[in-house]
Amino acid sequence: MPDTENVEVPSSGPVVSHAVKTNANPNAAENRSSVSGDVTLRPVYPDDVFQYGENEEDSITGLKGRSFSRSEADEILKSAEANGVQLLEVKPEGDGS
Amino acid sequence: MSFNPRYNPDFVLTGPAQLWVQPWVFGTPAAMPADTVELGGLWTSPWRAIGATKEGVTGRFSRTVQNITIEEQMTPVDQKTTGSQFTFTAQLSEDTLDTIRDAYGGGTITTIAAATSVKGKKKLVIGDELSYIAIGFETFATPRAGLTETPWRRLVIPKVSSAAEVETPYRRAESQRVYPVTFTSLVPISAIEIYELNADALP
Repeated sequence: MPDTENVEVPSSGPVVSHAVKTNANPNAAENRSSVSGDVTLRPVYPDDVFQYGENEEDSITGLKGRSFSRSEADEILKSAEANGVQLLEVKPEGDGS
Repeated sequence: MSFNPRYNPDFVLTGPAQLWVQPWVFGTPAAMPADTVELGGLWTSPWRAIGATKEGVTGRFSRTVQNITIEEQMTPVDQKTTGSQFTFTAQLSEDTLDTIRDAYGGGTITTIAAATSVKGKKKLVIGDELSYIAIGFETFATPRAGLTETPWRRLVIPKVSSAAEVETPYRRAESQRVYPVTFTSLVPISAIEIYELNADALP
């Protein structure tokens, strides 16, 4: 079971979600809320690389990007921001919003 | 007899400008921010502000012409455009790898986030060839009666390249590090549209 930490919600009320620590393997099955992932992230510059984990395979690059569950994507976005990296959330095709 | 030329002092403006950049992607032209973004507001990703500059932003437009002359008239009867150039220059003062990439004309940045037993670091590899980017420009516009927000003037040049001689002094105290950039438009002049906010939306 990976370590978890409470995420503070900036309002009165109980904590309603937990986040997975970034040093856990985001590719491990128990850390994915869905098998296919529902958020696609890619770097702003398509040839840039953001390695979010310990291994080179834990990288995001290219125009197509990489899919993650919402909770994983939030952690990666936080890590990217801390490292001065912009990541784009790619809207699914056909989404007119 | 006295003579007072007509003028409007409210239209004489000073003030800084902001440059935004994003990579040029074939088939996905850069878009102006929504009209709901006020002057100085955030242009959403993939736009990135170029940051601090030593002496602000300078826009430069030049047109070279060919005079059409006839024997019967001493002044040209016409002038035809043979070339034009539209550039924005600045001395970037935020010393980051993104700034260096913008100034040197392109490259790729690899970022490794810190992890257990792994130090976080970035690596910039400067491109052998120029990369293309898009730039956005924003500044004050002339005031308009009834407008409830500060008027802006904006333009987007969807494809530019950055090529200049970049000299960066590393001094103890004399001056900060600067990275001069020159962004040159690579699209027809008629493809650049300049917008100004003139009036509030009607109810």
